[in-house]
Amino acid sequence: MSRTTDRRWVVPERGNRLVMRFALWLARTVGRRRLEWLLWPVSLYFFVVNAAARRASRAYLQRALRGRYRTGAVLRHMHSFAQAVLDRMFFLQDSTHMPPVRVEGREQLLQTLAAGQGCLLLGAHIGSFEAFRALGRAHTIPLRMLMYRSNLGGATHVLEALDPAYAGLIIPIGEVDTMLRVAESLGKGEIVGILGDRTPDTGRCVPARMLGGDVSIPEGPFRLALATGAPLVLVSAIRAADGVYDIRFEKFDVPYPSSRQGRGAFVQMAVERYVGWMEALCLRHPFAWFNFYDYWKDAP
Amino acid sequence: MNTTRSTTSQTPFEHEVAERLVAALQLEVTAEEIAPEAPLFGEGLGLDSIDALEIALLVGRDYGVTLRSDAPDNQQIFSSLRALCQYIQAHRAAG
Repeated sequence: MSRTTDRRWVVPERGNRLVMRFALWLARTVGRRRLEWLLWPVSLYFFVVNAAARRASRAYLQRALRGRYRTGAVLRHMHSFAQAVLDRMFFLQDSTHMPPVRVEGREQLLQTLAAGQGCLLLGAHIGSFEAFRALGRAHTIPLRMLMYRSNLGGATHVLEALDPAYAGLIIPIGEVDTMLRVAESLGKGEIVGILGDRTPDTGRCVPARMLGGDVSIPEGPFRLALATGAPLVLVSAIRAADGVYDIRFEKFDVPYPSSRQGRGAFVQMAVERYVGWMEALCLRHPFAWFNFYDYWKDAP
Repeated sequence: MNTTRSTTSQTPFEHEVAERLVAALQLEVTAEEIAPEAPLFGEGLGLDSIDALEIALLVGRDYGVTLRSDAPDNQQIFSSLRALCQYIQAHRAAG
């Protein structure tokens, strides 16, 4: 286990308020489906100006697509991200304009919640976590998001303006009592969502192998599960070819250790299970991976 | 409380709490090595927010003192071993 100082993603999100406000106005006026043609020029623009994202995308796609990698794949990857950002605006806005969703494994989540210990819902920057949040709102499932908030830029502030309750549901990472808040929330039977594939610079990480390379995975979600005793459930929401979001809940089937001595081994096993889950998603949905920075540590 | 005590040596109660912390958090230091006024989080011992939760659980279980996220003085309570111990002693159930 090591402590990393990885500042690469702790930078303000790209996209300024003015552009986002314009996009928002356009989205509301023109409508979601009629706006989609715009995504290609937008993706092309980012493809041209953002060399770092382009490099990161290529490095990732060469792993995920293997022999099937072609030059155009990077542009398609960026288009897929632009589509997710657009859909995110509608997920946050209101249910009448939301993209449609299909849900698989709902009983898994409901069973887990019935135990009364709340639930740690573990996702990744793959597909759209917003799709699940919107579903939660529609069904009044109490959901809070554990987020590293201080680095979020203008884009997120505008998105938050769409859903005034959004900010109140976020538990910001980085305060001494952050996890006390999480434990209290779980104690009330609420769901706490975590995207476990990135860490702020103070986070402790465990090395793992993913898509044939070395990655560094935060151990926080798994230590948190042990500290609170709350069950973990995996969630992904991926946009299918027909424009429907497939939301899938999956049991996290690594048993919690009975003693403190078993904790280290549990965290290692849990990280491997989590990485295996991410890897399978990447292979099935290669363009849904939204970490546009050099995620692999052994990159040339 | 003995006010002439050196700021670097632990009171008996601080030592007791330090031993419990080392065991519960599986720290790689001994109880004696925790300087009572050194920061517990970030620089000092390098604990994080999940450790803070573990400490809160321990303090609740062993001393009957509840630490809550909405308490305004959490920064102060978790600032050092000494601050934590003073808080426990001020709030633990009588007897």
